[in-house]
Amino acid sequence: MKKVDDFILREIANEYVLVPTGSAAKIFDGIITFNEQAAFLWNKLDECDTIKGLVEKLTDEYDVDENTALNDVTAFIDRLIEAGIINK
Amino acid sequence: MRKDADGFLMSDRVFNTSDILNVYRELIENGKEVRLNVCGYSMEPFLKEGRDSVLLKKCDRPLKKGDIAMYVRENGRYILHRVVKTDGESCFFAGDAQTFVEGPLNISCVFARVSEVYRKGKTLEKGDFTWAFFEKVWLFLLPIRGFLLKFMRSTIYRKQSDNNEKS
Repeated sequence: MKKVDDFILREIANEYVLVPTGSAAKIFDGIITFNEQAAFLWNKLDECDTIKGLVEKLTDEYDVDENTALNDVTAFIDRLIEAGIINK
Repeated sequence: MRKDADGFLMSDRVFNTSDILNVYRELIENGKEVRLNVCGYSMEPFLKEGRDSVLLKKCDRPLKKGDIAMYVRENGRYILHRVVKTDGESCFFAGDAQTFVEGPLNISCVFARVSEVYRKGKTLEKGDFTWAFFEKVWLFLLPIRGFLLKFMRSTIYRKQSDNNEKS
């Protein structure tokens, strides 16, 4: 899994937004809102590109059981792939 | 999806427009291009809220008459209007729907210019017919715009009522 270039994460009033810039801005109209866990996963995507690795990161950082974490990570990644924000 | 009062599409949250624009401004000043959905009516008939958006980039060249640029007013409000006149130090602005000209504003309040327009589902760049029409002809007609807009609206209204009568 690899992030598409030109999406930049920013914090606004304790919330997170993913802003398309440059070539991404020419295709995407609008911004994407993330909660804290989604922002955490987004930042971890650079160092770790497997679902298993991301689940590990999430359970290390947050008080969440592995099954829930797996469901959340899978749903998150699926949505990003569907939206064309990351490539498989 | 829901739309907040300021025209930003959100999945489940509504942000303050100026918060978003502060982020956009920071990105632009760092050399990024960002896309902004048009808010408000002052750039009609060229740009329409809910239909059109623009690509904003840092002012990489001196502003010229006819450019659309984003600036910040003393009260912190962000405005996207067209340059009516500039001498390189200061600038006068007006929206395409307006006959009132704002200025002189110091050039330092301007931080971005429009490099592409997404209008009615099409991408427009400098040199395209519609772009050039509003950049040159419509700007030249600024003093009589009020009359033109009134005339255009009444013609459209008459056409619609004619059609209704026929059907």
